[in-house]
Amino acid sequence: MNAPVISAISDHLPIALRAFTGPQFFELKDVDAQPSKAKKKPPMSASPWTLTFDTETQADAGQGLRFGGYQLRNAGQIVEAGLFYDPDGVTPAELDLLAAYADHHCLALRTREGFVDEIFFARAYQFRARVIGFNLPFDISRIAIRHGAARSAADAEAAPMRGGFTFTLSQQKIYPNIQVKHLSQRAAIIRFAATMGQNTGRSQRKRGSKVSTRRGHFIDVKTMAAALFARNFSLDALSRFLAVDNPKRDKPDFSAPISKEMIGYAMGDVQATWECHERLMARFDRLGLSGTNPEKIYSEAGIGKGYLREMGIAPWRKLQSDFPRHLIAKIMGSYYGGRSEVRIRREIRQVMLCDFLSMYPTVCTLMGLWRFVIAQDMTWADSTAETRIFLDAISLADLQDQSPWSKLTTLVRVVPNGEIFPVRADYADTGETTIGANHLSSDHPLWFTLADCIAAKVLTGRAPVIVEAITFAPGQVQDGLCAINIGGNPDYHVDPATSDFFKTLIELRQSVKARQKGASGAEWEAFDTEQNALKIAANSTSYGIWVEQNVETRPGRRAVTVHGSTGEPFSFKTDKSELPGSFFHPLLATLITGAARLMLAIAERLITDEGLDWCFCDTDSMAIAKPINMEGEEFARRATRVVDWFTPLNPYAFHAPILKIEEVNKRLGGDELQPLYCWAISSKRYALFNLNEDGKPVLRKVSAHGLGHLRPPYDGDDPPSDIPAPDGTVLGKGIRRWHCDLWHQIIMSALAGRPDQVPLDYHPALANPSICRYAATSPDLLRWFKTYNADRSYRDQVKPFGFLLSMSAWKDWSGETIGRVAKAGRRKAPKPLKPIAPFDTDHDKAVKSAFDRDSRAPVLAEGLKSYAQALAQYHLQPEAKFLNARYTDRGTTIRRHVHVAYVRHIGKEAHDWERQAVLGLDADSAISYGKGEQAQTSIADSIRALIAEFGRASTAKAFGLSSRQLEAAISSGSMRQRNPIAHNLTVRMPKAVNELRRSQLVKSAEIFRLQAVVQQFGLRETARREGVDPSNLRRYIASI
Amino acid sequence: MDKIELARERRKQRRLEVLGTNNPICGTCGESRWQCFEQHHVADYGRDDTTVRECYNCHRILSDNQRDHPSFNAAADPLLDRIGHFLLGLVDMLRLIVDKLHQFGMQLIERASIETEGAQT
Ligand SMILES: [Zn+2]
Ligand SMILES: [Zn+2]
Repeated sequence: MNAPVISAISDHLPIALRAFTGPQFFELKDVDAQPSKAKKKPPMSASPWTLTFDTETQADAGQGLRFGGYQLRNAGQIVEAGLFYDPDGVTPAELDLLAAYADHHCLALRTREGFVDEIFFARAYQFRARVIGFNLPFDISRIAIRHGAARSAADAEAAPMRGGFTFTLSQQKIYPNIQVKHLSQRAAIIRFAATMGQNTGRSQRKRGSKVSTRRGHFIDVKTMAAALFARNFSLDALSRFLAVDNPKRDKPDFSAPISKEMIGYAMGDVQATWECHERLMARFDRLGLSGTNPEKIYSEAGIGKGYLREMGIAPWRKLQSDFPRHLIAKIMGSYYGGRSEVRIRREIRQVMLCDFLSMYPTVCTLMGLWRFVIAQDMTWADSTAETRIFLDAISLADLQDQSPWSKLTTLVRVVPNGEIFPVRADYADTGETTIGANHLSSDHPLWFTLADCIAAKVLTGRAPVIVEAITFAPGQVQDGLCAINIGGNPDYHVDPATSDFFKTLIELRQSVKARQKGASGAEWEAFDTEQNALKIAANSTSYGIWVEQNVETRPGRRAVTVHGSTGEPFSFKTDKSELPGSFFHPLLATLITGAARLMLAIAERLITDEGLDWCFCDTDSMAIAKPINMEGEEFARRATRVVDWFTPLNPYAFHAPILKIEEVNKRLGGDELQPLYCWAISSKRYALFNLNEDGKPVLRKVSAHGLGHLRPPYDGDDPPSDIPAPDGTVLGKGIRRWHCDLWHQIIMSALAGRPDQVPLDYHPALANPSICRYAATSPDLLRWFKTYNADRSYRDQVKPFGFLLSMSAWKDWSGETIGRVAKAGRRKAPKPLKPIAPFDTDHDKAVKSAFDRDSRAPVLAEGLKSYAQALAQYHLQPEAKFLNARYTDRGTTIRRHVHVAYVRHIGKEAHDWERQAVLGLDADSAISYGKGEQAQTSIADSIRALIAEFGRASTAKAFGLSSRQLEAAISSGSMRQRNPIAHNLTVRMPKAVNELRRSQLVKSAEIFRLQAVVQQFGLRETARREGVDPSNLRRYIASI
Repeated sequence: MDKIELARERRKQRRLEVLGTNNPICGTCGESRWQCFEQHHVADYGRDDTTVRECYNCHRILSDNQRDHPSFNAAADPLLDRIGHFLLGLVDMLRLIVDKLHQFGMQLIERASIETEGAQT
């Protein structure tokens, strides 16, 4: 392998490494094996009763209840169907209409209170019914009369409802409150709170039998669908997807008075929700997860855990709870997520989009990770000598063989010296870290996977120097494993003890898909259900559950022990706690993503060796780009060679390429390849298109990255007049018409040769204020509406899980925010406004009630960014982790060369992206554990190094200090943790270093200029022209 | 649903909750009406927590049989004593099952002969 030139250090940055934390002196508890207490009864499953309900609300801020529909069923048979209404939410005429409708359709008609007391509690609650809805938190909040923050013991280790809401539905004291805790856009935990005096009934005492608190049985159809299909659904999309008998009908105008159509629609919603529930439960039953309660599944991960439990697999952290913390720290320190980058930025290139066949299951199989899953424990051993020999010897050709991949269960400690590694840093200086494959140099050793070291060698041609290596191996196979039939099908029999689960799943899925190809109609559907079940099983067990961390925010800060990979454990006070998921086994996740990065590195290397380029890569896919002057056929030939290289790595029993040419490369509706073009802006932000005979773009695939949080400025039925409608295959899965239009416009500008200027006037709605919608999912979000809610009745208040709208304020060039209503008196430094507004379907009305969420002062509409303004730089989004990737830069991005200023230890990376996009990055949303004690000395050392390089005066100036202050700050003793000066230095370090380097560059440029002038005119003349002393000038020029 | 049906269903679901099942079946005789169930302590109440669901009738019999078991001895080794009583309780239940199986077998034989008679005529 020949070595590309390694660039000079471009950045002096702190890097962020994942750390492992636990409460001090906390032992991992084995919940199931507590001999002291009597065994708790397993919670009862629901009775055959179900209550399905749905609410229709006002289209204004309070989204108050107007009316709703319900079906009470016993064993699937309707016992009572009816309507309920809020007496304050309907007019007398509307009530008459409801009554007439109910009468005509044999429906019961109840008030909200009657529904809650007689149906929700006296029946559903007391009959232990399952309560079914679509987006239940919203509906529960509508039928409530009060809400508050859910209470939980402040010192509880895990308080599942912390940060949730409590709703009171009934005035009757005997009926419990309902607690709802938002988990994600797709899921919430819902349960009944305990009531006073529960469980002490006379008859129970007499029989000596105690019953635990009734938590109820809630099924949110939306959550279930998301877990089963790994997708977001609306009710109408879901009912069409599941092909239920009575899909959700087109929505009438809900701002109008209640009409027959509207009531029919509401009852139709209830029926569609019920039918979706039935379909989903049938699907769930076919997974054969008899030990898993569907009410407790909140995501795909829940299904994965169900499979593992079904096979009798005990969690690693339970079996090996004494596994050394310092090793977990090393494992977490080497963990990085998937790799996602843009290489050729803002340049139209013909590409071939390729993706790896089931990347994560494939690398799991190649590395033999299933043996770790079924092992009683894992062992580790120093392997420094062997690993050095291995890394030294390995070549690109060796990696085409499967055997070296099984040796990748090794972590290595290296001193990076300019090799390419995943580098996690706050490149854009926004407080948010991203990962980039960059050149890395460090004065201290760092931990990486062996796969990352091989990738470094593949990419830079030289192997990093190994200081230490640890190889992990699975122990004995666990007892009590049992075979299962995937999807209940005996043909899909898997014995976890003797076969590789990941491998078997992919093989089974392949065979089902092959049979599906020849089938049609109902048979095709059945195969599709099966292959989907297999896909879920594979995806849900091959990655996420191994690194699952549940983040909780506690009411107060307390000390946790931070185990970082670069030093001794230290104590840190934080209000965040990270609770590992039940199957937490971070080595697997670390190895999986490491091996996936190696796959991409190999692809990158092969592409380069073939004389090709690439536009972007994302976790398991790569867009290979045609060099400008290459013939199309030659490009296809070479790209195919890259793809074929990987085929020997196929670990499965069927013959198929591991790197595949994606369908999108083929002609629309055809099988032959058609030139596909790419326009990429930044990671995950790109569009793929064909060009038609007129040279106009035909979109094939666009990303909604950075757009998904915005409300559509216009609907699909009101598109811009001059932009052609995209093909149906482009839309769906979160891609909307207006996303396509924006991309169309960006590409048109690029084709016209003015890619910097994208006119955003193609639809009048783009001039409206840009609006994001978010549900008020936690009490702290709702607090912004405290003033607004203060003098309003409950039904008019902004309630939990109701929508709130957020906008962005724009600033003029001086940084002064426009539109703030000036307070009389003195001027204060303006704080950025964070405008929010109560919900209204009429955005014009919503905008009028916008206010700053901190000061609660009104914000004028003129001060709000329009869509055009908010999107003005969408097409220029920089890729901060690379060079040559600022706004208007174009072409090939250049890897940075990062020198590690110091190491920051962090927890789980931003987990609620949507919330951040809408509401802004809260300072506390990323979990940071600081630097630890060692890092402090390293900062002092770094500053001393800077003084040596740039001189004391310049260094001090760059930090905004006097020389004496700087000297005092770095002298030993004063750099202890929480010393405000030390903290300040740490914070200012990256900027200071960059400033010093920049000023040095400016200085050297100036000197080169002066040297040139001196050469032309002589020293004396130059000094005269510059107005300086000749000897000073000589010294100045010589100073570099 | 009228008031009476409502109250009955509430009692039923409460009862099933206490019994810990939605489909109770008597382990010894096959009774399945939710009203007639109790939890029976195999090793007698107070000795061991292990319970099984039994219908009232079978429970009466089992409880009566328990009266013939050796009485409480404060000086005995608690673990051995518990195991011993558990085994006795188990035997009582098996006896009922043995009777039931015997009955069932005889019924099948009787039915078999009636069916062949029917076929011959
Ligand atoms: Zn019985
Ligand atoms: Zn008894």
